[in-house]
Amino acid sequence: MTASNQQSYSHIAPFLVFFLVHSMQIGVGIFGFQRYIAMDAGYNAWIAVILVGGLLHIPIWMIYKMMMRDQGVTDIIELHRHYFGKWIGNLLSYGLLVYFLFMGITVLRTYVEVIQIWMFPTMMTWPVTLVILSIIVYAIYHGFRVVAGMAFLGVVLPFVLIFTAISPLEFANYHRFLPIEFVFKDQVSAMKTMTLSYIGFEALAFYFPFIQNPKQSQKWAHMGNGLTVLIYLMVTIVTFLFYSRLHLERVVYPTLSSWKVLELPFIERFEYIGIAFWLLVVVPNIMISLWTVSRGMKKLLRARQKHTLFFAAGTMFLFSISYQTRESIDNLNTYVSEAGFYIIFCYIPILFIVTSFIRRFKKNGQSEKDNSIHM
Amino acid sequence: MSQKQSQNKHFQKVLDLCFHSDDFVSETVESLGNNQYYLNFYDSLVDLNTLNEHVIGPLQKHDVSTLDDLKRIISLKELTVVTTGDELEEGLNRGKVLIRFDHSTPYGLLVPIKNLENREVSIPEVEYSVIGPKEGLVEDLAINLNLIRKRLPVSTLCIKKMKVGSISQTEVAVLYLSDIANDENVNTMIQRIKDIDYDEISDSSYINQFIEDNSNSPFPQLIDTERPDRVAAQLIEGKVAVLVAGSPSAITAPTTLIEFFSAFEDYFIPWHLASAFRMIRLFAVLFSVFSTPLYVAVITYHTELIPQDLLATLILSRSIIPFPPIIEAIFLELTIELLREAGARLPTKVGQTIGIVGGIVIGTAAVEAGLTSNVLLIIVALAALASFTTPIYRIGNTIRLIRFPFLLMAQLWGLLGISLLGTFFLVHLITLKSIGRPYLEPIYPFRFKDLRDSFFRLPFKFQYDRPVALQTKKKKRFSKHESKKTADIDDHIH
Repeated sequence: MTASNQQSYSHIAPFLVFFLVHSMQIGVGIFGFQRYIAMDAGYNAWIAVILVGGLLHIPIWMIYKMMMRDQGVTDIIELHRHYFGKWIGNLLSYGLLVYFLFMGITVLRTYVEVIQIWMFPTMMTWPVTLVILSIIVYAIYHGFRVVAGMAFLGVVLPFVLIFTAISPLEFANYHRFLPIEFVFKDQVSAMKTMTLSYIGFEALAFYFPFIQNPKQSQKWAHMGNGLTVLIYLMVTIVTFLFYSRLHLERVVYPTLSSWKVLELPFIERFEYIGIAFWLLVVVPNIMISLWTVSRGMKKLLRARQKHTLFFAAGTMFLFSISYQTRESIDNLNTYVSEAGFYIIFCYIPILFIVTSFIRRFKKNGQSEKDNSIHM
Repeated sequence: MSQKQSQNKHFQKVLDLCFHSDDFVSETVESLGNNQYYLNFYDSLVDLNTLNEHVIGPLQKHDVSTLDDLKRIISLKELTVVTTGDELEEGLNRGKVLIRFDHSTPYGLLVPIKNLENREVSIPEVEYSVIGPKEGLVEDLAINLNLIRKRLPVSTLCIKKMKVGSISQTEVAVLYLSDIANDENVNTMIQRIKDIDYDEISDSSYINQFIEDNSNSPFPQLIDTERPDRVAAQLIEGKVAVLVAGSPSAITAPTTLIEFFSAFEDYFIPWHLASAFRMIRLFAVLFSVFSTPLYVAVITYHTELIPQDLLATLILSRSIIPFPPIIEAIFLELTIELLREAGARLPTKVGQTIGIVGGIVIGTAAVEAGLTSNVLLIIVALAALASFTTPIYRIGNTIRLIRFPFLLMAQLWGLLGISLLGTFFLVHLITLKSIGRPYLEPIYPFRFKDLRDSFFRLPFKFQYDRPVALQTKKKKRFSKHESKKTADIDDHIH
């Protein structure tokens, strides 16, 4: 009784993986991804939204498979070390940490940019960045339980906004969807663009040991991704029905602009509330990234997480305030999404296949050895 | 060992020390057979009538020479023979009388004849409810324990007593039902009380502040109540209660944030009404915290948010105000706080008058003088009113306080500032624990079962489990299948 209790305080319940996966995927991308995929594949791009979402189940499955396969290997840092040795393994881990660091920077900086564009055009970057990061550091300082808690609340509390997001349907033009065509080349480029909005769930490979019953949690991870697909699909369809093709190309943040349509008896310009509320979505997102980096550094450097946390947060702060122009932020987004695309669809599958081979090879070697001993 | 001996005070030295006080009396009683008895006691602590009737009377009639015989002739219970200075000091200071046969013997008999002044059991004033029991806890520990034990006539109700405070030696009792309460909770509670190192404990709120998980948090992490029925109900749920001698409020733990918004009256009225009232209370609290900051944020930065017609009303009421909204809001909020603070310090009758006069006169005058807008006056007054809806007094203070940082953040960054501070408080609430149990439960960690008595209260027939959060030994309150058996339509005619 006591033992199981104690475990439940440092570990998180399996169903929370649903929120961890989902909250990491939905971030600032949702404000403007529709425009980019529409530029790639026109108004048939919603197919890409479903396709990418569907394909993502494969890397999720692979991560679970890899983490549960070997004894003593419960996160990706140990996996790297186990199969590639200390040097190459750690190098690969560092690569992933840099990727997560920049993922956090992207979300943080883009959110602050949205605030600067919509709410306070003359606001300086660093004070808000500092305050957001302080809240995040405060949370991580109290352990993964709090991080998971914010992921949970960051999905549950802003969920009401979903109902406001469909308000533009009042002015929907349903003919914009037709004709439905499938051009492979266009869809592939739309899929690549769409990946940015979906990345982030890979952090699963880092917080895996914190899940109380990993086997049970797998279905929750898949369902979390499922909810992401549904929300993106809904937002895409609402946007496509609301904007004309040419109009959409001139709007940087279609979701925010279409929020303006919503009119309540005492509230207009709902996007102000939306942006302020979106902090609850963005904070868990950055939080998980930063947690991943600090946790990874703790394991790699054998340092105290209290120290690595402040180091990582400081780095994140300095990098985010160094991006000042629209172009640089846009480039940052592009690079991170490119990296994310290759990590999800190339690195993880290759890692999976390679480790499977090594594993089989080792096992054969071992069983042969066993046999020889027996003989 | 040597340290212990030095701590043991000498019998005679204790007596000498006592004689420094003028209320320490030394009496000599002479019996019929010329036998002398020496009595020592504090006359401020001893009931003289009892002393005359049960001690001096029998002593005068009998001649005895041993302590055992003495015990036989005094018809009082809890007679003890003391030989050490510590015991003597404690006994004398708790209203006992020392009887000896000789001035100089370092031992004697202690007779408890204490005379302690107590308040009568009266109506709970802070947690008053129209329906339901009207008993409130009082300052005397024995009476309080009596009030609780008579509601829980089971032998599993355990009471562990300990002494806290190096000088005040305050008696603290930890109560729990040994077959229900989680041992870990009980042990944590007892351990934390034992660890308190302070000279004086005036009230249970001292204990409260010492054993809170995070004493820097503005949120109270333990419930304090003055209702014995509430304490009994909480004990049955599997919680641990603490009673402190000299304090009319009990502490119960572990608790959750939601519990601070549940009045005990909620259980006396039908579940739908109770649920509705609880929701109103929660809404009132949110309104109380966020209304003024939102006003400041919107009027300062986001006027586009408001539809034209409503904006016209707001602008009109503000058109002659010379201050920015934040000054206006802080001015009004401080006025309300002033009234509240003055009302709390003044005697009841004067307080009410000052409250009404101050509130109406200052409010009206401020609006007429053009210092504040009447819209804001309405909002601030409503917010103040809303903050009084909390059934537990302590959380009301929290709400009163956290409004101000929200105001400042609203001035600094508008809606974003409010959401930043809101996020911070969310994180803070997640980190909080009450006696090691999560404070934000059942929201996080999410426990569906515990929702039935949180934002709303479901009927008693659905309350078949004890709260999961408490990890009790007996999970069930009653069998759920029995309660759900219902007759079919027209079943009585075959």
